[in-house]
Amino acid sequence: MQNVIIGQYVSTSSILHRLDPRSKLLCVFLLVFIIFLANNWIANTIVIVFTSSMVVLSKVPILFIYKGVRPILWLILFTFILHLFLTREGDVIFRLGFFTLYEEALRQGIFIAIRLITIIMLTSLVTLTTRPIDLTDGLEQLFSPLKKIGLPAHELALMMSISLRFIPTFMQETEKIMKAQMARGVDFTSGPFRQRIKAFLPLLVPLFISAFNRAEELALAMESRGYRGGIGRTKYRVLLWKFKDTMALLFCLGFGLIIVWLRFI
Amino acid sequence: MDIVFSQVDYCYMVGTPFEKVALKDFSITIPSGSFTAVIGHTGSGKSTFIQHINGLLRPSSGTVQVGPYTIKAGEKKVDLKGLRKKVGLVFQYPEHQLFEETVEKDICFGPINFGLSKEKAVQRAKELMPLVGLQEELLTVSPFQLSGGQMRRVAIAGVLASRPSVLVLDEPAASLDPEGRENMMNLFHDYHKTQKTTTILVTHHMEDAAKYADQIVVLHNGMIEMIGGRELIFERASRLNEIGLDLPKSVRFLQDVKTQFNLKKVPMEFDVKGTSDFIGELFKKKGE
Repeated sequence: MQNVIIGQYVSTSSILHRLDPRSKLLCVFLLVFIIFLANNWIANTIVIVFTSSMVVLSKVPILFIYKGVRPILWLILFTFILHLFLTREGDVIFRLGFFTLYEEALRQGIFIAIRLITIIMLTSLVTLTTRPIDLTDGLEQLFSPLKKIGLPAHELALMMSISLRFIPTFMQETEKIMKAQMARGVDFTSGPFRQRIKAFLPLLVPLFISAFNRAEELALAMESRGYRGGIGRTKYRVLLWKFKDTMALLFCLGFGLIIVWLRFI
Repeated sequence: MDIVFSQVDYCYMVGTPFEKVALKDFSITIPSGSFTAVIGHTGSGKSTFIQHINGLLRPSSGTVQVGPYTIKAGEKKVDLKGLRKKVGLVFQYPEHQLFEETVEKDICFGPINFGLSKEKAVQRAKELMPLVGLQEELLTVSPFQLSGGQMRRVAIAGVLASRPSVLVLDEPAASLDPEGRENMMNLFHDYHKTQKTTTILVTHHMEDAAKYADQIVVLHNGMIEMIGGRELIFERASRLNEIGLDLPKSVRFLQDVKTQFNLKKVPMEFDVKGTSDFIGELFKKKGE
């Protein structure tokens, strides 16, 4: 229960922590595209170097990053193997019975793995270095131009901040109920598959009930304090776009240009 | 069953920036059939301590022994199911653990998990309803139609239904009204007396600790600060205050009387009767 890092802010102090959430979000958005453009060994090496230097810059303990990547390691392995079987281009490396390994398959598999890992690392860096409240403020401001076409930017941001806010609470609740049921003889970790699925019912029902109760209580608490949506609402913490934010964005753009350039030589 | 902790350490989230030592060099013996109260400020390690008793947490180092079951740091093979059958744990707000369609099914859930036949479990549920102060008709009702207090009673019945020989209670009367609190505590005290269980009560309520416990354990920063009978513990008022704890109201009251009336000595009383008797005597003496 302690290995979910979504919305887990690590309060070390670094240049990444001090950047405006908007610039971080824009950079990551850009970087996701850039990483998918990397299609040769040099570009991918640069991507790896870039990502690891960001991790070092953030001063976030490497264990946190690893915990973020760990849940999707299986997915990465799966896509890697899928590539080995399905891609049929390039020279043959070796044959074993019905299975033929192509050079291109290995290449594509490795690239996909690099892409997934670096993207997960960079996106989790954003949540690890930004306070959830700043993150939602940033998102709200980034989306506010879309209000004109009817996108409820404030409400979306509020929904997000509420869900982020309640992730730790929800985890605690899960742990508590799990323990209570374990004390009543439920075994969540062993036994046949069917039984293990059944064992989750005593966990899920109380969790749903408490989540609904909490949602209702929260709505009441907000209404009783006069919450009426985002119209005319001012902010206690005002986001400031600084010179270093422009620099960060330009840096990512430059990084993108290099990757694009490497695609064509 | 005797409960023996020897030099238990426990650490939360080892290897992260949130690493926190919750128990330090924790050694204690709780004799079979005793009623022990555990008091301490928030974060003093009370919950961590009690979760070691039924193996929900394993010591980072040291040994926990509960009757024939031994949990040693680093060792994997322990018959946890057997241990948990013997150790009933009532968590704070136990009503949150209810999930079945009917009250009866929820009470039977634990015993059936521990291998009791369905008929016997239903029988036990029937017996327990009056014991926890609920009507038997409620057995067929969904637990979610009940009031908060009734739900808590159902959850407690669900723990008692496994007939544990060690009963661990984490603030079982939290957020109940004074009458509900007393009923609840009397229920556990009676159960303790009749079933001869080893009972461990975690509480913020000094009055309850003084009233029911044979021995009181005071925790502070994951270590045992004091241990002993109520007179011994509540004598050390200044130290208790330092670690964020209070004296029972009756003791505090007599201390005030002592300073107001310039008395040399006041007895330590823990209930209304003893306190009022002393005050009555005092008035008589002053009148003469």
